[in-house]
Amino acid sequence: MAFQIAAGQDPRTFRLEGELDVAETQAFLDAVQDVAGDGDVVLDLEALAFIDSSGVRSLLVLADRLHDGDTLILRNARPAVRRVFDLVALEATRPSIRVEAAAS
Amino acid sequence: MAYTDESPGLGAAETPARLLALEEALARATESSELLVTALDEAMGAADVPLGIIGTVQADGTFESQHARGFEGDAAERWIDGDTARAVSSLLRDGRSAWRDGIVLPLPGARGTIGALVLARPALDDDRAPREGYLGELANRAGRTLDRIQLFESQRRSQHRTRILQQISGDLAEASTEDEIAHIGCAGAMASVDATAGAIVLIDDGRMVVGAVVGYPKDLTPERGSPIDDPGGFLEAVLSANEAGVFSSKDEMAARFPERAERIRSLPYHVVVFLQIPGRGGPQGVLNVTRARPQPFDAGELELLRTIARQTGVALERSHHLADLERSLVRERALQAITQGLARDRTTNEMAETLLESLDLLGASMGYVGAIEDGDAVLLASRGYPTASMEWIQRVPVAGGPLADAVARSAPVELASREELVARYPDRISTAEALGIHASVVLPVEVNGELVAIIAINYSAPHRLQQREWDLLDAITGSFAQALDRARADEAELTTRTTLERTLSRLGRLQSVTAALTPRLRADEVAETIVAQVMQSLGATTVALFVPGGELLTPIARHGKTDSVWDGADRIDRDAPLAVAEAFRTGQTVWIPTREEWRRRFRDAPATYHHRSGSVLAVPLVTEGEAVLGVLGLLFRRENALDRQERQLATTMGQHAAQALERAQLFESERHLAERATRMQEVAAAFAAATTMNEVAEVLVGVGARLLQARSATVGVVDADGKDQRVLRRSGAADLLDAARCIEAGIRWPGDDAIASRGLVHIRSLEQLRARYPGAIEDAVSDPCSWVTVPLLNDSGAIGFVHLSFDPPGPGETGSLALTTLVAQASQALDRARLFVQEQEVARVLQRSLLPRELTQTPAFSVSARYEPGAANLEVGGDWYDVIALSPNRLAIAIGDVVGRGLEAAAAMGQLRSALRALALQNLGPAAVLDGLEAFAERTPNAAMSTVVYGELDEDTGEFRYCCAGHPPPLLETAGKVDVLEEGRSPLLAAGATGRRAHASIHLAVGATLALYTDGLVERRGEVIDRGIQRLGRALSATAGLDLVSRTDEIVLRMLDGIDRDDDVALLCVCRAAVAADRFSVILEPDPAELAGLRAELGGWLRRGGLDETEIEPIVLATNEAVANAIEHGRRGQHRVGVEAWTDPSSLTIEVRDRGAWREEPSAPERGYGLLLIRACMDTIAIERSTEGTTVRMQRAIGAARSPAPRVDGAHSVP
Repeated sequence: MAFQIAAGQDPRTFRLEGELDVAETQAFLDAVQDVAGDGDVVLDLEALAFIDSSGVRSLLVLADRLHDGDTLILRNARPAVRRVFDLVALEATRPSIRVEAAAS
Repeated sequence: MAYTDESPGLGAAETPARLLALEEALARATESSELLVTALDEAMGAADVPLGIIGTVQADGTFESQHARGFEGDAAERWIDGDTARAVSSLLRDGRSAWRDGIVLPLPGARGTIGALVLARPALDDDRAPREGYLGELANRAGRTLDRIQLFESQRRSQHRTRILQQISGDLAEASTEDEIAHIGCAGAMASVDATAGAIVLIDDGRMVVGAVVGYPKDLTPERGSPIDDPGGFLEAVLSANEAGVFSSKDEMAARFPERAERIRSLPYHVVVFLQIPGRGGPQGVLNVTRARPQPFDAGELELLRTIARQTGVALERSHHLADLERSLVRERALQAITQGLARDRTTNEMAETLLESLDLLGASMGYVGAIEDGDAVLLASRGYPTASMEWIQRVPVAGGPLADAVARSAPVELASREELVARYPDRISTAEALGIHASVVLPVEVNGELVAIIAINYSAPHRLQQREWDLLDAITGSFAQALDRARADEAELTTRTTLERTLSRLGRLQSVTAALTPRLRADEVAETIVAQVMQSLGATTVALFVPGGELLTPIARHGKTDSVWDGADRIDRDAPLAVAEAFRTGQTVWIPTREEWRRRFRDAPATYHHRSGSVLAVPLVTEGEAVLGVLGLLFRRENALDRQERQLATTMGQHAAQALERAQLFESERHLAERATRMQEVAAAFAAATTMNEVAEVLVGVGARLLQARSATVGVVDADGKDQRVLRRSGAADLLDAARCIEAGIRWPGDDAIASRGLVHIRSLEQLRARYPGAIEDAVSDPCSWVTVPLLNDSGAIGFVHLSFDPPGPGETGSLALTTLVAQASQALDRARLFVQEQEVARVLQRSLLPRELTQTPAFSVSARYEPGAANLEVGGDWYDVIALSPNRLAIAIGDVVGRGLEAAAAMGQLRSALRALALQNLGPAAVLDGLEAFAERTPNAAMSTVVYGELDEDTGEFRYCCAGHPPPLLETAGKVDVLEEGRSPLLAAGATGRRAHASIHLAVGATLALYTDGLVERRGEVIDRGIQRLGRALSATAGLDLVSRTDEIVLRMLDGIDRDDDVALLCVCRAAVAADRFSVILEPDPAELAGLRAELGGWLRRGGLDETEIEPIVLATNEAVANAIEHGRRGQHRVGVEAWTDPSSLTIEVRDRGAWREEPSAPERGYGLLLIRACMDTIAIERSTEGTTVRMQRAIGAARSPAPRVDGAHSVP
């Protein structure tokens, strides 16, 4: 299942799909490169089936681009992805990241 | 005592009684001295005088005092000395008794007066008469008694002397040596005359030497044998018996030796006697005795001494005689031994050694014998010379000195002492001193009036040769000269014989060379034979035969040891400063006898021509027509290895060799023409048979180049527009003009012009090449060469080229003709091959495209195939195969063979395969599929008579249903056992058969392997196909342990090993795998894009293994992280990454292997996420690093062993 990223109705909201691994991180970062500095960014991870350590690192890169006070909100992460976030203590590492529970 | 009147007188009356008493007193005397004392005392008493002397009268009438009374000191002696004694003597002579100081009373004997009584100053005044009467009577009676006693004493003395003489004679008789005799003579003489000291001087070889010395003080006792000082030649005088040797007093002796008077007087000897020791050949010596008391020797004593001297002389003579006898016997024997030795000796050295054995006989200490050679004496033998001089005496110039004089005078030169040496050869004294020589004799040795040797005999003390020594030397020298003469004669004979033998041997060798050459017809055989024969005959270490080719001399045969002279030069320039080249130029044999000579003559020769050999011979091969066909070069280890005759032999051999070579060359040129024609036909045939361009090129560079006698050949092709040239084949020696290099580097070369002009380009020399094609050849090259480059043409233009190099001057006229023919044939053949290749290439591409690129695999069946086209020059074959997935659990396989080759066959095969695919997917079963294919084949060109095996595999049951239409039977290997599937057979496709096709079914166990193949794999020429099938069965069985892909390769390799294969070959193997493979194993390219696939495959495998999703997810994540790290950090992404996973009932293990180093980079926490995740997901992780790379091994408990819940859900930590 190839990785895909699509902008939502809100230009600062993206929907991630498939598997985010080292092969795809550059595509991800390219897609979100213009979002920094204009407030919070929301990634909808409902369709993201897999993320590995490099995927996590790309999230950190994105978070670091945000202006102070802005937050990277990770929404609707599946249990498997959520577990990875927990394992690397993502929120503890970057206060600017907030992992939100699945909507459903 | 005083002379007084009171002295007892003598009265007349007393006279008789007193006479009686006197008579008694006298009678009591037993010795003359006793009597004389008695008489003197009585007379002095009777005459009453204080002084008296009594003495005896000697035979000559002189008085000699015997006793004296009344004198003080030595007065009596002085009193009767000189005048007194003479006075008494004359008184007695005159018969008078009156004396001025007293009276003299003669003592009468039977034959006159024998003594006298002298009384000083008697008192004769008054009573004179009776006293005189009494005194007279006393004198008478004393005289008579003395006479008697003297007679008695004389007898006794005579007896004593006789005894002594007898004793001496006896001793002398027993004595044998000169020393003993001298001693006995001396001691005997002394004893016989009661002497104080004595000596015997002997004459030895004309010199006086000490024989014996007894009783003299030490300073008068010289060594025995030492020479005697003869003062004033006195002893000589005694010896010549012209002087008396009896001295009765010191005065007498002092008068005779005035210069030694003082010495004589200081010695205690009063009486000295020298007597000749006579001999038959003259005196043998001198006997000397001395007496310390002033008692002269009387006549008897002298006589006795003479007798002793005589007897000593006799004894000496006898001993000399004996010694001479013995010596001469010894000498005779030694001489005989030497003479015999000389007669036996073979060499002059031995003879000289033998000669020197005479040194002992001559008493010499050193000896030398030299042969005269060129005015020098060359050492033959020596003895006794100090080691230091050995070098010097090896060769001594005969110039000046005793050697030269002896030679010049042809007579011996004797130098008896250093004084003589200094006098005659003053410059030689230092040599004599250095060698310790005191005396020498130098003798020339002549044979037939020719001086041949010189002998020197040296003494370490002064020595003059005696006659007998000269005689000995003469004898020995004579024998030596004789022996030398004989030796020279022997040598002369030997030389003659040797010369004869050598001549015979040379003739023999020449014959054998000629004989060996006669049957040789080919030039190379002749060359080989010449070289081998000459080498053997002349004993050379290296022999080579050079023949001319252009400006060069080339060795065509060569034997023996390697030497640099011909190592560095395959060919020698005709003008080279070298013996071989010189012999070729001049037609004369060149002989370089020594290294020195070689260096002198060939100073300018290149370094490569230098050699280690002693001598060099270059023999031209000159024919009768005086053409020089070649040169034989010979190297010899020794300098001066050949004499003139041997060189003459070599020259003659060269002539014979030239004849043989000429004959062979004639023969060869004829044969050559014939051969060329034959070879031309062969070439034509070879071209006809060549189908590919490479084959054509091969023919051209092979037989073609040989036919043209090219040094090297290169054949290439040109593409359609004449631009791209490509070398196909080359042969022969390295071409100086490297076509491939020029083409590669884009350097203009003759081929360019040949192609452009479509004509031949001929480059005749290196210079020409350099001028026209700069850069085409390397600067360093200097080897003469010529080149011909010809285009290969077809109707439209150049399609290739032939490039040939030749030894100058290049191909001759016949060669050019052959070249033209050859090129025309080659062009045709190449053009044909080009077309063929084009067609073949199309077919090949088609066939490749028609065979499945990737084989369908299923979890239950592994499939592997291998296709080998026929040999490279063959057309495409018609073998094909296919694997078709019919449904998720069914797989169809097929293999077939279309009749024919090439494009048509490939096309037919493609159509059949497509048709089969379509038919198979209809799921009709094998028999129906083949029925359908039959119908198709009937309507398809070139498909008739095709064979095929078609079968379907059921994944669930392992059943194989199949049909075999005229194709070799499939094989089934199950656990090493092989079955031939002979069932389900039916005829070939489109072969006119009718009726339904048979089909069969067989069960494949898990692990069983099915092999389908075409006939190329099993068919061998001259063998029934069953044998090949059996062989395949064995290969199948033997390879059972391998994975399927390797196994397929290995089977093909085994089956085709060593086969000259002309058919193509296909093999299709299918193995039924265990449905749930117990091991996960993949190898990934070092590309992150591989990760997604890995995750999917691993997830599927884990799922099939019965793990639930909560277990699968962390395992996949951990594996992903390990592999991502390996890909990222594997050495620059160069190496693939292996992933293996397996389970046991309680745990799962995953290994990730790469050839890089594991990177953890923990400096930033997020960089360490990978490892963090792995640790969180897996129970253990071990990282092993080795030179091979890194292995990450991770484990996790699975199934029931993992409870209550995976840790992945639990707490986390940041390392």
